[in-house]
Amino acid sequence: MRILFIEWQCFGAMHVVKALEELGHEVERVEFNPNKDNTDESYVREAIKVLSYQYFDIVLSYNFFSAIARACHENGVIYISWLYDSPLFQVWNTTAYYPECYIFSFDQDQCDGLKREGIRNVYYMPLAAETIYIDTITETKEQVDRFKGDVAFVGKLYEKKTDIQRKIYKASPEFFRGYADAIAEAQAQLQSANFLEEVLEPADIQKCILEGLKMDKEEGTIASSVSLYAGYYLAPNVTLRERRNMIKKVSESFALNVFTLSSTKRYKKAVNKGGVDYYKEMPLVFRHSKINLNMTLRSIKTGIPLRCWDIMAAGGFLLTNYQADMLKHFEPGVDFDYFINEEDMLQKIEYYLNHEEERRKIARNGYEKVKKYHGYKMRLQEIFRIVEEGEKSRCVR
Amino acid sequence: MRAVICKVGQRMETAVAEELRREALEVGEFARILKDKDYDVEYIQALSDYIKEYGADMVWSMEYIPVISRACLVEKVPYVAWIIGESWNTLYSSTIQNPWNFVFVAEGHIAERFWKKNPGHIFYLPPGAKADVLSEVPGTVGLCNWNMEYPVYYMKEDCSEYMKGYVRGLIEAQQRVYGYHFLPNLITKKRKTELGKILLEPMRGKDYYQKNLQVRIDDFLCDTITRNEREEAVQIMKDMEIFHEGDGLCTVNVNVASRKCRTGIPYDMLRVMGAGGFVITNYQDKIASSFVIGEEIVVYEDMKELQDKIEYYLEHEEERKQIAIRGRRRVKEDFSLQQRVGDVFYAVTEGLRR
Repeated sequence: MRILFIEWQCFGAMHVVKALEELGHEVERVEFNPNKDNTDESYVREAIKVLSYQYFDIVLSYNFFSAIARACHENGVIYISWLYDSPLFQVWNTTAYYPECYIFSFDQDQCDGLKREGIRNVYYMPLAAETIYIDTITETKEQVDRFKGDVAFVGKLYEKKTDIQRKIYKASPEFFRGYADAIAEAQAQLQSANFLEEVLEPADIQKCILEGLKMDKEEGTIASSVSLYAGYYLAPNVTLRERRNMIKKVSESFALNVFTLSSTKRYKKAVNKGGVDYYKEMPLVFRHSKINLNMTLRSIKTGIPLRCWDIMAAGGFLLTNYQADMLKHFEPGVDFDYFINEEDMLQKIEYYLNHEEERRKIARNGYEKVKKYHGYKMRLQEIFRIVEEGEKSRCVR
Repeated sequence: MRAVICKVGQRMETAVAEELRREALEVGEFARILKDKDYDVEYIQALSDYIKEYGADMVWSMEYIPVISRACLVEKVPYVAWIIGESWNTLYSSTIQNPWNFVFVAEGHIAERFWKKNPGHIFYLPPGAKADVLSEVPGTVGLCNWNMEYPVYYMKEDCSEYMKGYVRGLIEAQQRVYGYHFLPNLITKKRKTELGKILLEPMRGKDYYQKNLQVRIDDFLCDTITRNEREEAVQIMKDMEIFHEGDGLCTVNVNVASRKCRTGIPYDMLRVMGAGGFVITNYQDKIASSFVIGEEIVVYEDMKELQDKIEYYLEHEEERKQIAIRGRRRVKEDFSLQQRVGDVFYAVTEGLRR
C-alpha cells in the first residue's frame, strides 16, 4: 500500500515508519505542526489537493488531527489515527465521525468514552515496541558508565506550565486556584482512585469553569470545558506533584538517576543526568538500570504509556504505577511489577534491589513477551486487518 | 444503690435508665436547661443539691459535661460519662482530670488520646443497644443519625479567597473517597499553619487544653464532610418523596457515619438495628469488621449507589427483612446494652477500689 505518514514531533514515529516499510508498504512522510497546521485553512486546502490525486491508499498519524480528517474525507481516503495521548481533545471532534476515520486508542477508557459519544470506528490498540530495533543499538563504555545505576527515571516533571495552563491559571479566580491546588495535592496522594472530573461536578464549580475560564476550543470540538480543564490543567499538576514526590522519596533511600531536562535541584540526593536521545540513548538507560520507574501522566486513565513498552523492549525491569490496561497483556510479578502508593513503591524497590535473580527473570519475561506479541509490525498488521474489515462492511452498507 | 441520670438530650439516656433499673438501681432523672456546659454555676448548684437530696451514689450522662464533673467533685460521687456522640470537644476541659470521673468513649483512638490526662479513668467502650422492636412507618426512608453537634470550628469570613477554595477542594476530594482517610498525610506544615490561622473555635472553654493543630484541622474537615454527606443523603431521600423524619423506624434506614469516627459504631445505627430496622450505611472499617456486609447490613459506596440500593431494597421486601433479622441478631449478640452497662460497673468498681 502507499501510505502517507503524518510526521510531527512525537516519540516512536521512526519505528512506525520502519515497520511499515518492512511490511512492504511504500511510505511517504510529510511534516506536520499540530499547533499551527491543524487550524490553518490553507494547509487543509493543500492537503485536500495532495490527496485528490488518489496516489495514497491510506493516511496514518500518531494522534488525531481534524485538518487531516477533513482532507481525507473530501477525497474518500482512509485516515488511520493511532492515539498515544489521553485525553486527546483533538479527537473529541465532529470530524472523528467521518466514515474514513479509523481511530485506535492505546487507552481503553478513552476508547470507551469515544464510543459512548457515538464515534463508530474506534478500537482499543495498545502501543508497541520492536525489540529488534532496540537490540541493535550499540553502546560505548562511556555510555554504559553514564547510564548504569540502581534506580532510573526518564521523563519530564511537568514543572513548566504549557501555554494552555498559563492561560487557564491567569483566568482563574483566587478561589479556583486554591481549589485546583487542593484537588491536585489530594489526587497526588491517591494512586488507586481518579476523581479529577468528579470534583468538578458541583454546580458552582462548573459555573466557575464555564463562565470564568473561557478556554480556547478548537472548531468542531465536542469536548466539555470540564474535561478540558481536568485534562489540560489538573492532570499535569497532579503528575508534577507525583513525580516530585517519587523523586524525593526514592532518592532519600536509594541511588536514583533522573534523566530529564527538568530541574531536580531541590532533591539533593537525586542525580540528574540530563536529557537522553529517545532512539539512541534512552534504551541504554533502561538496559543498564536495575529498576526503571514509570509514573504515568494522570490523565491517562487505564492505558500503557509508551515508556513502559520502551523499558520492557530494552530488557529493563519495569516498576510502574497501577494502570489497568497493563493487566490485559502482562502479569505482575512475572513480566513487570506495579505499586499502589508511595510506601508500596519504596518497599518494592528495596525488594527487587535485593533479589537480583528474580528481577532479571522478570525483565527477561517482559522483554520476551513484548518481542513475541507486541511489536510494531504485529500491531500495524492488526490495524490494517481491522480497517479492511471495516471497509468491507462499509461497502456492504 | 442510687444513680442520677443527667438528661442532656441523648436518645440513649432512656435506654440506659431502664437498664440501670433492671439492674435493681434506683434511678433519678435530673433535667435542667444547661446554659453553659463549662461554667453554668446555677446548674452546678442545683445538681449538687439534687445529689445530696437524692442520696446519689453515682451520676451518669451520655456525654461528657464539665459542669457535671465539677458538681461530682464537690459532692465526691463518681461521674460516669459515656460519650456516644460525635463530639468529644469537652474532653479538652481541665475537669477531665477530676478523680471522680469515669469517662467512657465510643471511639477508640479518642480514648487513647485522652487516656494520659487521667489514667485509669478514661476507657474505650462501644455503645450498646436494646433489642426492643419499634414500629415501622411503612414505605419510608430516613436517616439514622441524630443529634449532631458540629461543627466545632468555623472558617473565618475574612480569610483569603485562595484558602476558601483550598479548603473546599480538600473537602470535595476527601468526600469522594470512602474507607481511606488521606487528609492527614496531605496537609503540609506550611498549609497547617495557614489553616490554623483561619479556623475559629467558638465552643472553647477558658480552661481547655491546647489542641493539636492537626487535630483541629482534621476535625473541622471531617465534620464539614459529614454534614455535606448527610445533607446530600437527605436530599436524595427527599427527592424520592418518601422521606420520614421523627420517631419510629423507616422501611429503609440510612446511616451516614461521621468521617471523624474511624472505629466507633454509631449508637443511632445500633438502636435502629436492635429495633429490627434495615440499615444501609457508608463504609467504615469497624462497621465492616463487626457486621457481615450484605447479610446483616448493606454498604453504599457513593450517593448514586445509595439511591440505587434504597430503591432496590424498597422493592425487595423479603431480602430486606432477612437482612434486618440477621442484623438485629448480631446487635443482640455483640452490642447488648446489658453487657455494656456491666462493663461500666466493673470499671467503676475497680477504679474506686484502687
